[in-house]
Amino acid sequence: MKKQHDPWPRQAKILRNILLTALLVFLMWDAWLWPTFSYRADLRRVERQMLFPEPEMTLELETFHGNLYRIDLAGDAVVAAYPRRGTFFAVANPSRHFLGEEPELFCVPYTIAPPDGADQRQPWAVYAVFRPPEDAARALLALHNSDGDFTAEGVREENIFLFCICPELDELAHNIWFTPERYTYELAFYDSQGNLLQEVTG
Amino acid sequence: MSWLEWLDTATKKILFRPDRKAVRRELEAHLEDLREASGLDEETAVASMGDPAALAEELGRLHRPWLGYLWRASQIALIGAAVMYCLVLAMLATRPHFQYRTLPGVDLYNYLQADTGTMAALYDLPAAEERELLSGTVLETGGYTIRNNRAVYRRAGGEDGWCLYIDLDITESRWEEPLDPWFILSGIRTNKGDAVKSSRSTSVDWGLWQKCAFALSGLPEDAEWVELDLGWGEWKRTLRIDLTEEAET
Repeated sequence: MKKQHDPWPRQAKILRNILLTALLVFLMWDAWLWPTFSYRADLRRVERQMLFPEPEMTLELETFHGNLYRIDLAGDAVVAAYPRRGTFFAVANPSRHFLGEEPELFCVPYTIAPPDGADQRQPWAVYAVFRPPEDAARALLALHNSDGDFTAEGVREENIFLFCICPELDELAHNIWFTPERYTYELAFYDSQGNLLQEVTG
Repeated sequence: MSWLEWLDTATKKILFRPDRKAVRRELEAHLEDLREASGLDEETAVASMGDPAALAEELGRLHRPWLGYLWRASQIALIGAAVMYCLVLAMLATRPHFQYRTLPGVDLYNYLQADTGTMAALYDLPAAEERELLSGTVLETGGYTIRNNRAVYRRAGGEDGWCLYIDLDITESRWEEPLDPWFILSGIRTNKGDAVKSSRSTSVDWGLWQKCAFALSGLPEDAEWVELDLGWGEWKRTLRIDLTEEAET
């Protein structure tokens, strides 16, 4: 009986298998359009593909369900994103907004966790205004939808005013809080002396 | 000691089963050869094979189990990756972006003609007038080099009036990050203001190379130049196209 000599020593076979596996994994990653394991890294890559530089300002909000909702601002554009669920990889799901000449109300399309110091431990609706007047120290929002009229005082975070409204739980079930076509608003900006700087309606 | 007992003892310290089987086969072949050559009976032949316990120690040292386990694991990983790859290809084969990005050198004119609406009208209608404009402007931003490869100004007829087709060659420093042609366009101006009826864009990419096309329709009759803002914030660059200067043909 003749012994058959294997031309590949075992170490070489292992190396060959590992290299072939790595090649296949790379091809899969390439075919899948290069997913990452980090939501932030994926978002930043999407931003680079939009020629969106390192954001001048970033705001991260925790949604009521514990996800991170991120808002990046650069130049005349805003990129907002949340991690897409149900995928193995971390995929940012960005929405993009062009900023106009006047400040306008941007609706965060998810309920967020209660702000610090809030009494109600229930989901909150949040609206943001980018690039308010430079001297604005206070901002007031009056929001009207089919559930009624609501007011909120803005909290300034660098170049963004955030307005948090705590509707009744059964009201939040409606989409009216997150659909810009279904509400109207008035925004008023005041300087530190209380003088009205600008009023915006939408 | 019977032959089977001898074999069991001699190979008991080889922990990786495929190796143990292979060594057993080899020892069996060796004994067979020995008996054929010398004419010994089984018991004498087994005795002449030596001490099985000492041989077991030596074989156990030579056949390290972790190498066998690693080899088996690498085989499983390779087969798993191959199966996954086939599944991924099958899943992605129907997606348009996958089909287009795997076609190097695809003709964007044909690609755009296959598109609906404005682009089809732009290229299907015979041109009443057509000018090949000066091109060659190079912009660098965000790790990308954008070259205006071609600009064609043409009166397509119908409601669209004058249309401008701009063909860009883009080279990327990161091959996995082709530009998003629609979102990079942050502004369009002409010397007559912002009046552009509609704009369309498309792109294909291959490795570090990307080809991108914009089509602007409904430009003012007497427009002299068009400026396209590409990018945002500090990465914004302006591509200016003179509509009055024709390229030398």
